[in-house]
Amino acid sequence: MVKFFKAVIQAKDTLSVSYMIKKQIFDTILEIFLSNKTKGNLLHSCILSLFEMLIPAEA
Amino acid sequence: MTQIDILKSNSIEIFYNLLILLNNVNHSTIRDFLCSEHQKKHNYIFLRHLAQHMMYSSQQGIKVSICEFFKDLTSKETTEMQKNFQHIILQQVVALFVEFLGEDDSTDSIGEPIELKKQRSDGDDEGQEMRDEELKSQDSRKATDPRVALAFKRHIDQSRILILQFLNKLIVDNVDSFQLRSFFMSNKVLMKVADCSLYKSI
Repeated sequence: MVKFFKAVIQAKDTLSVSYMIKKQIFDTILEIFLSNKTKGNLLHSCILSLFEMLIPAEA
Repeated sequence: MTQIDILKSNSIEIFYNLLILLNNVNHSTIRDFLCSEHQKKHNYIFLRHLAQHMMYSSQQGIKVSICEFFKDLTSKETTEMQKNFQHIILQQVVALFVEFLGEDDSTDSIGEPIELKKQRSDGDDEGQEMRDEELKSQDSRKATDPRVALAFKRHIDQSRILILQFLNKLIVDNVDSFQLRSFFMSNKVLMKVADCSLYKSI
């Protein structure tokens, strides 16, 4: 599921990203992250790289 | 595994290998067949049946083969024909997948194909009673035997994972981003995928 959203962000379609923000999809992703906080697993790194992708390149 | 399942599994595998391995059959020829007038006249029955098998088959091999087949069909070519093909895939296959993702995960609805449900709601169908009895017996088996219910749940979860893989590939290879985005928004695809977080395995 996280991979799917990563692909959406990677497509660099700003409208889709703003739609995701509007529909609170990032909240769901964050909830998954927090519900697995005791486990240092692959899911963590996948979610973190998803949020990294949201940071603009020049920042 | 019943004999019918083995036959289905074998025929899909043979068909898939034929399509992929034969040098003189390239993907555009397959796409030509899938978009042909004959298929259009029959409401793209071939694609729809493949999608149904991928969602509801209890055989992991069949599911994976069909998913790989669908994934192979998408390509990065930006020709008019490929755009047309993407449109057909979205309307005929992805629409079914999205409906499946949005389905309730209760034991009542598991394992009941969408088309069957539509036929049930249509009412006066000849095999109605037979199908009802078959579904009732399936439901009672699921209700009485927790192992059967668990196996069903597992199959459905596997289907969800494969669908997500296919959607992923569709986004990566997307030919017409406007078409894809408008389809995703009108069918609330992103919301339904986010709801999959309820299932721990996904």
